[in-house]
Amino acid sequence: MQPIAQTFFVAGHQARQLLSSRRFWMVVVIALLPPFLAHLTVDPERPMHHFAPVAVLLSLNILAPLAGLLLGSTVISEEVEAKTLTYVFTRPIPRVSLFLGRWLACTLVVSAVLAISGAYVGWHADQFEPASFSKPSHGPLPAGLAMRFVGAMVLCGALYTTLAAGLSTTWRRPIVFGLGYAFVWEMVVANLPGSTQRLSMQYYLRGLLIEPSPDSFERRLPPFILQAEYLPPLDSLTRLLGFMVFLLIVGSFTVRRKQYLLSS
Amino acid sequence: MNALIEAHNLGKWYGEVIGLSDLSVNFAPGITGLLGPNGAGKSTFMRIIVGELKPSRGELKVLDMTPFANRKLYPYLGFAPQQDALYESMTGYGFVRHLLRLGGFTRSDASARAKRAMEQVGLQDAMNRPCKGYSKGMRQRTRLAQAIAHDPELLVLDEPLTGLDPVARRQIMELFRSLAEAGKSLIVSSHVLHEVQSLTDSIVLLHRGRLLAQGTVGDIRSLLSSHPREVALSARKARELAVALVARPHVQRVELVDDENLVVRTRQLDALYEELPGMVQNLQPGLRSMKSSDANLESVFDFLVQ
Repeated sequence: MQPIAQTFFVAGHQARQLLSSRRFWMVVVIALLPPFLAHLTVDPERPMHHFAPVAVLLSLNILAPLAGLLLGSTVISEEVEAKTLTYVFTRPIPRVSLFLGRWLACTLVVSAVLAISGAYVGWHADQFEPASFSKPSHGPLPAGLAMRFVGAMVLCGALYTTLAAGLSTTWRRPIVFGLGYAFVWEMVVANLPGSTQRLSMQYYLRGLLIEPSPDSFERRLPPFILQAEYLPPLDSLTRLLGFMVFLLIVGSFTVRRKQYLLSS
Repeated sequence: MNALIEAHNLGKWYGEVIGLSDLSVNFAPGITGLLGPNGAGKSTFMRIIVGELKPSRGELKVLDMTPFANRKLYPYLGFAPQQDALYESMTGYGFVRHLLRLGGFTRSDASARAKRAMEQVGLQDAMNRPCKGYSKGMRQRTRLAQAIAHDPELLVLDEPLTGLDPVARRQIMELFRSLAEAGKSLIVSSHVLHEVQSLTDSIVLLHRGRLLAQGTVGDIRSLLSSHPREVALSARKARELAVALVARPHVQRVELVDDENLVVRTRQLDALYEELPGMVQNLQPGLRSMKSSDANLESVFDFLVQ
């Protein structure tokens, strides 16, 4: 098998393993929360009023990162913890293929689950025709926002999966570092006023949703999110993808060179 | 040089802990026993051989290749690690088959090889059960199966007989012999010395990360000219024989175990063997048996590590 075929073989196997794992079901439960809350709290008169906090504050800030970190942290460190890494590292397959294959499986699984979750939230909010347009927050969802939200969810899940995967090549407990990054660093930096927000992934993820037009989604978001100037969505997307590629390169480089000590 | 493995001044340390120190050793084809007490550096050395760890200093060639993360080497190498780890949710057969698929075998080839390997280790009846339900011995045999399934040239087996019951142990040792007869080379680590001794005469002794000795048991014994050796004697008049023996200059000590058994400790075993027939003729002690209790590997090992 060629390295690319080996990567896909690893991905297929890892995906099957993931689907029967406890972590997968934890991710499913996490992903069910936004639809559940959207369903529970929606006000048919003001769908946007509820969509914004569920979408941005709950899903993109908390749940999608958590789901990504949960699965991404299994990529290498799970085998180190289980002491099974020896078996795969002594096969004629590039270590990078093992890393990328396992990352790909986790990313696809997280993305699929979050896409379904996001699609339901978006679709649900899009169902209602508001009676009153007297306040901005009473309006319907802007055109295309639901789709962009699904895209942002998928990308958010993939990003945090990649972050955790990269961490898992170096640390035995990547989830701890990942959670620290996502819920301490990002929570602080992404919500500070001004350009400091650019140091967080959340800033660019929000940039996918917010368009600099006066009647768009941004007018319904909480004020602290609006205290920054966002890049156009395409620029945000480019930077996020660039960061993801950077993480994959660092992870691949690390896994090629690192010695993993499996104490018996 | 036709050595399978050549190590020159190999060193490995984990922070301040020394795993291997200045180890220079060659392994020839065939079965070689890698011996040493716990913490001797056997597993560290094996992990460097299979390319899981990098040496901190020195050079190592395995089948003329540098092993660390070298996927060109892995088709020729089978490794059964010491740690008791398998993919718990998979069956033993599925586990071996998956690793074969990772190694590039087609589905049908991987299936056939996995089945054959499970049969070779005597797990054909349990191969479709999940690994999490396996006994310690079955898990050990599964680890061996994944090591031999791709028919490698060189097998590196870290404590492969641990956890096996006597029947399985004999079966696996037979398997090792048949693999060696088929031209494969095996490096078998153990601290259960008699097992290795019954498998091979070629041994490498490690202690505290250093090479203590290498060669056959006989070679090593010949190096130990100053090593006091013990001979157990059983005689009807053991007390009289003890008195005669203790007068000999080369005899260091005579221990009377009971009325009919004694143990002689001598610096010159040859001299004892030369003199003993005359003493028996003169004293008529009714000698029934004579056994050099330290002629086995265990005593060599004990002496060397002291």
